[in-house]
This record gives sequence, structure tokens and C-alpha cells, in this order.
Amino acid sequence: MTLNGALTLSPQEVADMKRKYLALFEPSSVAIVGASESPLKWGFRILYNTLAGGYKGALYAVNPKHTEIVGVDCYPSLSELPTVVDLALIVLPPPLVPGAMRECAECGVRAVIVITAGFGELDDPAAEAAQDEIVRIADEAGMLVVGPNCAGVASPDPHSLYSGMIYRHPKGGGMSLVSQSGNVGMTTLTWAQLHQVGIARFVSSGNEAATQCEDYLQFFAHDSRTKAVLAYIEGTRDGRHLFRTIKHVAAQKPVVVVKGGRSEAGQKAAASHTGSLATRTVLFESACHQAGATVVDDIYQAMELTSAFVSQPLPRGRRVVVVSEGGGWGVIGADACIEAGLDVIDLPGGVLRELDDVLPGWWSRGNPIDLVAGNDRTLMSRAVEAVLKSPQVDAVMVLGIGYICSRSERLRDSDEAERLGLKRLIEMATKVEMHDAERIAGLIDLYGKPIIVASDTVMIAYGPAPNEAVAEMERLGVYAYASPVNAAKTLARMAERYEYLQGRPRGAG
Amino acid sequence: MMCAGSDTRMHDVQQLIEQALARGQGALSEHDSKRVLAAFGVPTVMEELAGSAADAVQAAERLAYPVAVKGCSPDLMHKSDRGLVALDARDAAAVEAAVAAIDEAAGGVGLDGYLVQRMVRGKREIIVGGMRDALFGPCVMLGLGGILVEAVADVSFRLAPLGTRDALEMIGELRGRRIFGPLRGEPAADCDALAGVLMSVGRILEECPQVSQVDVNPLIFQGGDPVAVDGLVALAAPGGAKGGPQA
Repeated sequence: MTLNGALTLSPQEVADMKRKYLALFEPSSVAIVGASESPLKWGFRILYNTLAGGYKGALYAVNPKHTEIVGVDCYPSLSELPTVVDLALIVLPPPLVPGAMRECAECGVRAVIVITAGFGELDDPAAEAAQDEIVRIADEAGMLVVGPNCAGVASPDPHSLYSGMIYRHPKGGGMSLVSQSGNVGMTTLTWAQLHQVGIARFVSSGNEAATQCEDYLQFFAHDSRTKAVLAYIEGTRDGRHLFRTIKHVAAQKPVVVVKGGRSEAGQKAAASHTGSLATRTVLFESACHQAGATVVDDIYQAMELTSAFVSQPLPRGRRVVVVSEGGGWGVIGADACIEAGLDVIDLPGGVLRELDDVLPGWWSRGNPIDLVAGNDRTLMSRAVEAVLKSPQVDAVMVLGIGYICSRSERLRDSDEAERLGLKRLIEMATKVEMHDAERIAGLIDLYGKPIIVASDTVMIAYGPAPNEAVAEMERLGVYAYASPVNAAKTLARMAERYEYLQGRPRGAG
Repeated sequence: MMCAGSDTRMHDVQQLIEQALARGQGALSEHDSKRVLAAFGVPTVMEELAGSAADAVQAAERLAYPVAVKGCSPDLMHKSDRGLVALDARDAAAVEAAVAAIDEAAGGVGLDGYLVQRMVRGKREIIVGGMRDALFGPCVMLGLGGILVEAVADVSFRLAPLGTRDALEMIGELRGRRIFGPLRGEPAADCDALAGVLMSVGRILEECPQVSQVDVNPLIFQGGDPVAVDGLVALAAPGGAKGGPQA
């Protein structure tokens, strides 16, 4: 094995690993050890979250003081449960955790999540020793142990499992996440739920006492539900191992990495220039990039990119056309594309001729294409199609959607609309716009090219009056960006992924 | 990628390193460092090690003026800061004067000799480095060079060993990558040759476990061709302390 080889597993190892991790992500039974009746305690919230998430398997509470909590049967101990559960979540005070883990091992529980904090993250030898004890019990029993000091797990499919501290229930899909921070995990699941982005697996890895982020990544590589991976990583114990793991995963699925703790002062290795410039963050990010991951410095951009990897085809080049509802957005959209390293091409002759038939006679005949804020709501999807089908175009950026839904929102339920007889008109126009959104989303599959959408209507799309066109777009898997800057960055990073898979150096020119 | 060459050359490299370690050296001298670099395929400046002022003059004549003269010793780093480098000596008198000045500046440090090098001229100076990180292992660095390298901090890294794509990406990642294009009367830099240098430094780290660091600084583009003008190969006895915290 070379120093830089991808870390591959034998078929037997893969089968064993899958069995192990499916106990965590697809358990047919779950016990909350340390379940509580008090809504102020995590022992209650985690039980309640699992219940509210609609978990389809058998759910049990374990606490000697109760026989039932929020309608869930409660047992004095794990050994008294009617069945051996696949997964146990431990929410007990730190001194009780090792005992509960031993009980899990004795009963034959297959996977354990230690939610409890107060172990290796403390600068305290006794707490560190307690964490070592957790690792020892896990190793001896061959149990999969997540945490300690973590927020839990989610896997919407197949059993609607949302078990942990995070009260969010995004739908099922292809994006898998491992986060060394529970708090960042919360951010990602909230985002996914808001934007209707589907999740395959989520795990908050906590202190990673017995199971490290590399282990989850390796599972994601072989997990059929996972289509793209996002990892929030603050540190690793073995940089080469991380590198070789990512190399293996990224050869098969897109991997997006966000490095936390970038600004920490780098270790100064020696008196040489090279040593003084080689900070840990620079090496970490270089290694992830070299292994085939996309390194992103913002968690929202990382989510946007990972979800695009799941729902959109890769552009086979950097040639992009911007189609805009209005002048200024087209200009900043084109600027953003160029800044991101995309190629804002001159419109090919065939596209010009086709657009001459679609657009009013005075159209600008340039890229960005300005639709001059016309009233014909079908213009956008017709223009996008004319551009997208050109063999000289790799991707289209669409700027401005949902304007009718946005404008009509304040009128819709008003007396004014009633008085002026506008209600039917608004309904019809909304329908046309929804249909246009559907058509644009449909073009992605039809031509096998990405369409990236940004609109200022997104700013008010998720408030008390949701924008139906934006929501419809996102339901169909086309995320609506609030800014063309992030949209262009996603497109450029997707182009890099294509270059990587082609074996070419990544980057513009 | 061409390899270090024949087994003989690899054998010579190993011998250089082991002799240096046996003498307790923490690094190879500049001259020996460049022999190692050259053995791994890095283009290095033409130079001769001279034992005396007279030898230095003869060497200069063989190399052709103008030349640079440097004090050479494994114990000397940052030579130009210490007055141990004379550039652009154009005749025998200038070479003799340079040797005298170096003797005085060395202040008792034992010199291996005087390194006489053909002057290399080019507007573009870069740095190529190699180091071992406790967490990531051997790494290669490319950066825009000159005395402002730390302040400018335009660098890229890869883990060794490197493939051709890795090396080309390192070049493309520099913010100042446009210096490799045709520039102010100079032709475009030979990026394939530069990629070769990056891969060579990676291979030195991979194949020579006793090498702890490599600095090729500066690497000057003479026309479009990269030439290592100064080099440092630092050594650590195998199994020595590596140190360093976790990321």
C-alpha cells in the first residue's frame, strides 16, 4: 500500500461494516436510557423528539422511576425490555454511563449513542479516563459506540429515525452528514428542513471516542442511500488516514468538507520557510482537496453544494449563460460567474436565432440575457430551454423566480382584491408561474445539465406567506439561492468535481 | 516521471546522507543538498566547490563569468544575511575579493570550501519546500518566493508523493499564478518542468526517511526554465522525535 493510496475494504469488511452501521441508522428498535418525565431534561426531549419524528420501529424508555413517559412504555432496566434493542441512546449523568454501557453489551445491544457530555472534552484526567473506559467497553463488546458528548442521529428513511437533541425532521434523500459539532449539526438539519432537502444519514460524532469521522465516511461510501457527503471536521487524529479515507469516498461520491477552527495558530515546525507556512489548517484543507473533496469555508455554502451534488447533474465544462428577469441582477450574476472561474460565453449563433423567435425584437442579444421584465410568464422557461439545449452551453444560471407569487401575496386575501375582482386573475397567474417553475426544473433531467436558480424573492419566501413558486422549485430539488454569488460558487465547484472525475487538474484555466 | 536515476545515484545519495548523520550534521551543505536534488531530477545551477581563492578563480573561468561565490558549510544557514554570499563577480580579482570577504564573515566557522556558481538571472523567483508533519506526514510546498515569502504567504501544499495532476494543481492554486505566463519580456514558465521539481521533492521525502526538510529557495526561472540556485536538505536521525499537537 502506498503512502497515498485510497483506503479500500475487502467485500467481507464492507459487509461487516454495513451490518454494524445499519444498526445505528436503520434500527428496528430503540431504547432511551435515562428517559425523563421532565420537559426540561434531555432525557425527555430526546424521547419526545424520537416520538415526534414518527419513528416506525419499537421505542422504549428506560428509567426505574416510571412505567410510561409520553405514552412510551418505560422499563426499570435494559435487561427487562421485551426485546434486545438494536440501538440505545444513553442520557445519564457521566458516572452512570459506563455501567449502562456494560448493560448494553451484556444484553447484546448493537449500537450505542452516548449523548452525555463531561468526558474527553474536559481538561480533566478523571474525565479522560472515563472516556477511555467507554472505548474499552465498546472494543470488548464489538459494539458501535457514537459520542460521547454528541447530539444524536437521524435517518429519515426507512424508519423515520430522528433520535437526538435536534428537534428537526427533514425529509429523506441522498445527502449524508457527519458533524463533529452537534450545534453545526442543528444548523444543517434546520437548513435541510427549510429548503426541503432530503437527508440520507446524519450523525453527530461528538468526542469520537470509539468511532471517528473517518469511519462514518467509509460507511457513507458504501451506503446505497448516500449520494453525496458533507463532513464538518474540526480535527483528526491521523491526517494520512483521513486523506486515504476521503480519497476512497470521493472516487465514488462527492465529498464536501468544512474545517472548523481554521484560524487557530498553526504549529511552527522549524526554522525553514516551508515549516513556518505549513499551518495545520492549510495542510488539512490541502489534504482534503488532494483526496478529491471540495473544501468550503462556509457551512451554508457547503449545504448548498452538497444538495446540488445530489439533485443536479454535473456541468461538463465551465461555459455558462445567465438568464435574468432584469438588468442589474444579470450583471451581478455574470460578475459572480466570472469571479468564481466560470466562462460567461458569447451566445452561440444557434442560440441567438432561437431566442430571436422567443424574445421581443429589442432584446439585448448578449450574455447575460435580459428578459426585460416582460409580462409573458412563459418567457423564462422558453429562453432557458433554448440556451440549455445548445451543445456549447454547460450550465444555465436563472435569476428571478416567483415574482407573481411574491407580488400577489399582499393582495390575495385582501378586500381590495375581492372588490376589484382580482382573485381569479391572481390564482391563474400563480398557476402559470408554478407551471413555469416545474418546466425549468424538468429541463435539468431532459438535457442532463444543471440549472442554478437565484432570486431576491427568496428573502421573503419562508416567512408567514411562503412563496409557492420558490417552494415548488425546492420541492423539485432545485434550491433557490438568495444571491447569485453563492449560486456561481456552487456551479464552479460542480465543474471542479467533473474535472476531478475526468482526471484533469481542477481550476479555471 | 523519471526517477532518481540509477540505483548508483540513489546509493550515492544514501551515502551522502549517512556520512552527514555520522558526523552529527543536522543538514547537508548547500553543495551536497544540491547533489541530492540533482540526483532526484531537480535542475540545479552549475557550480563547483573550490578549496582556495586560486581554485575558485579557476572554477569561475571554467564556468564563465559572471559568477556567485558563497561560503559552503553544513553549519551555515541564511548565508546572505551573514555576508557569506557575493553575487555577480566578473573577474578574477572580484572572485579573490569575495573569498577574502567570506573568510572574514565566517568568523571561525569551518568552511567546506567556496561554492562558485554560474550566475542565474531571471525575474521570477519561487520557493519549493518539503517537510514532515506529525499528523499528515511528508508534504510538499510551492510558494511565490523572494524575501517576502512569509508575508505574501501565497503558497500551496500537497501530501507526498505527488502525481502530475497534484503538481499542476499546486501551480494553478497560487493567487499569483499569472507570473508563470509570459511576463515582462520573459517567456512562459515551463510548468511541466516545475511540476517535475515538485514531484521530485515529494520523492526525496518518500524515499529518504532521514530527510526532515527540503528547501529549494530560490528556484529561479531562467527564461522559462526552472533552476535551483540554493538548496537545503535538513536531516533527522530516523526514529527521532517528531512532536507536534493534533489538528
